[in-house]
Amino acid sequence: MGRTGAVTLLHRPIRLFLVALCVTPFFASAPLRAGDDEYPGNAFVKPRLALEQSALVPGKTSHMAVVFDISKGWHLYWRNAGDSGMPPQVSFKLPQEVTVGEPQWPAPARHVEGGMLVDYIFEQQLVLIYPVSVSPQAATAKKLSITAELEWLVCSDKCVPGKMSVKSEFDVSPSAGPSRDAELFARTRARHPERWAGRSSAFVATWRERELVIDAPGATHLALYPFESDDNVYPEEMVTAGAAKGGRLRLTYPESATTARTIGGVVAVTRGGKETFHELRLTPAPR
Amino acid sequence: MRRWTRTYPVIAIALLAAAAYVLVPGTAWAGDEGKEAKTAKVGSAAPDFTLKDTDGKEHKLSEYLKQGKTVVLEWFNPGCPFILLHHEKQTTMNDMYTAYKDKNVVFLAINSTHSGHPNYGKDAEAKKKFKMEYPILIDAEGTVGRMYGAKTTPHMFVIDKGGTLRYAGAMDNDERGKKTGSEKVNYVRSALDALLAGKTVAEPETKPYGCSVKYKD
Repeated sequence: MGRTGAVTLLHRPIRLFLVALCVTPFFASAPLRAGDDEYPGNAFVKPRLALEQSALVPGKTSHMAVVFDISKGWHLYWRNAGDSGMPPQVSFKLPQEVTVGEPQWPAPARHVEGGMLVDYIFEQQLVLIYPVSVSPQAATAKKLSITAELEWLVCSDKCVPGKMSVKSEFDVSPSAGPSRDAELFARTRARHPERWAGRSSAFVATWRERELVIDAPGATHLALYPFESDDNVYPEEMVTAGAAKGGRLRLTYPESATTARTIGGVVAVTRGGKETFHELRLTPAPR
Repeated sequence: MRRWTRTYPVIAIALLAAAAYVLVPGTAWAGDEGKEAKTAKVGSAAPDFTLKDTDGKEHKLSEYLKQGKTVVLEWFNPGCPFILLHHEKQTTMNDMYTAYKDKNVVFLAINSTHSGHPNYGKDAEAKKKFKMEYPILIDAEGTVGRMYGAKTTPHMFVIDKGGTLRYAGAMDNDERGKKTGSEKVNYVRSALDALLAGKTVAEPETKPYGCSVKYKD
């Protein structure tokens, strides 16, 4: 089914429903379901929107999250799902006074199946944090409405698709304090990787021919969650080589990696019982 | 003592042979007999296998190759949304079967779901529901799946008539099933078209997408 077709078929009823909801404020924060028969995954994921601050402030940038609460025994996927699965897809319907930036993904967990494949997953909850900017022109508004259209694949021992729209009416105010979700944002940020600044404070990465060696002296456990790649540049044997006890991780990449612009991912380093997360981005030098 | 020293090598060889038989089922290789490899590799001989379909009929890869067939393997699980995408929402597989069945191409779906999984045993029903005209082979032990390194459903493999694996990877470049026109590339069709024209497969390996194959742990 083509993109246009899918949008036309699936979104028209949602749009009509949205119009109906606008004149029915009582239901304004209810998730809009896109047909639970076609999307059995709606039963296992409860999405909502959350603000870090109590209101949107005109002329300021703050943070908004898409929160997916996941039923026990089920999981969603990271930006690189790994060998199987698919990351959730988010798009926003925004008033003209609002712009939303790129999401920050927390570090996932490794999930090995049948000794054959490794996926990067989230259990219980996935929180995607987006920067949200409000133009000064919004000063006269009392509320602004944001809708997120969400699609996901949720898996346990089987996989089912989900699709839902969530809409929130957020207060607009000249100033704002922490919201009741502020702690959720802080907790999520503890799993955001430290940005790559040409090097990392937590490890040394060396690229030699097709091998990436990550050294983190004193670490008791290391793991690499590789970024997704369209160029088939993906380390080999991730089931066995993607995580290791101790302070050294060795990963072999395919031949095509030697001509890639960048390779990398998120490195999870455990030291003194504490796990921290760090970006890694390298340009592989040709032989 | 002397008798034992003679007997030991015989016992050792017998044990090794028994171990090889138990551990490496299908040690014969379709296109390159005598050579051993643990898993399928693009550019190398495709490992031979024999599996039964939903009607109990046996299918042997090397037999198809002897007949000069090009073989397409599709890793399959009727409970997976990506299989539904290509068999129900879109008719990718049936369309492909129709387009190539008279061009000496054989299609085999293989289900490596283990027998304890809720999706196990639903292939005969699925074959009817999806109107599939090619067989679904049952690999509940996952032996053939592991031999080919099948990770997802679908995970596609194309074997040329000489028995060499020429393509392994995704069905297409559209895991969300939303692309249309020239934006969408079906890698299996591209591989088949190249092979049937005697050309090299331009993209011999891609990253497959789909549900995980439900292997026995």
